[in-house]
Amino acid sequence: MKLNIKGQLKKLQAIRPDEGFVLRTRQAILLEKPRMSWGYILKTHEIASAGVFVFAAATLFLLASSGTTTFTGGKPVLSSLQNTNGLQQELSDMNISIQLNEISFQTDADKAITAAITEIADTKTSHLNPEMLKFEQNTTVPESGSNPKIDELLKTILL
Amino acid sequence: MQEEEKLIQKAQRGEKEAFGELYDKYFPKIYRFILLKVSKRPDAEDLSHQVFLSAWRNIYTYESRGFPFSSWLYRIAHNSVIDFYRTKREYVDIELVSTERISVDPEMEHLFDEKTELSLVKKMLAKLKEDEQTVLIMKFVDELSNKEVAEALGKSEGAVRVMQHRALKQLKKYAEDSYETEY
Repeated sequence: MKLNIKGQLKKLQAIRPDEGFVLRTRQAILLEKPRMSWGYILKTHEIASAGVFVFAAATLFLLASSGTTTFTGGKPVLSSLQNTNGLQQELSDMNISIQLNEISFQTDADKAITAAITEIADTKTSHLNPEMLKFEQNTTVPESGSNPKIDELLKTILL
Repeated sequence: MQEEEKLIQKAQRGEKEAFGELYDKYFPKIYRFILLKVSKRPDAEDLSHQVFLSAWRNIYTYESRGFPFSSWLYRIAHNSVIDFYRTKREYVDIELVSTERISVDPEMEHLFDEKTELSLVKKMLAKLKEDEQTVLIMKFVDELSNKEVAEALGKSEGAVRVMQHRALKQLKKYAEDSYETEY
């Protein structure tokens, strides 16, 4: 007797799963949702959809970039971020500058205020003191309407 | 095949019924392959369930590349069996699959009149190396082509042919030895 190996292996095709189990598993599996990836969505959908997605992403990036520039006073953010030492230097320089400007302003203000107070407190100022003005008015002798020397000189020139 | 490609594309778009049809077509084959590898029906049921659940969840990753969908499923099944033995660390011989526990299509029952022969084949298969068993089951039970077997196992067609030839030769030798001792 000779064993037909390939024929015997083929007979194993008769193995079948339990039908009830097959149905239960089918239902359980189809309750799940297949996973999706962005790569697959972009690959399988229309190029136009992909274009819209890229455009939207680019617009969002530009908006985000302009917003960042406004908040940083127009200074590029990325260059500063690349160097933390530079960032710290910028920060310390900014504080010093603010402090020096404040000191200068306060000094000028002090001078103006001092001058104003002195002016107000000074009662001997000649052009503002009413007593002085009255004294000058009484003591001033108005000049005569004619001056003989001037008359002589005029005669010489004219004649 | 074009019909199957349409089903796959629908399934990749998330259509459950399309995947359901693929399930109906391939579940019995994958189950049989796994049962012949792990021997125990509960283990085979668990693994078959996991294989199709994984296939459904990752259906978008499937690319035809000239190979049928079945090769992709067999690859998942083969990896599942490897993982099963790696984690369980308990090898059960294929000969322990009881002939009585195998659910047989009533129309094919007459083929099992000679149960001794069937039992002998299972014993001989169990003596082969793991990859040789896999090649013979895929090739002669599931009737995959060499190209499909190679794709499922991640090997070249040449390597599959060599394994197949070696396995058949070994199986014949076991058969001759068995008949010499039993008859």
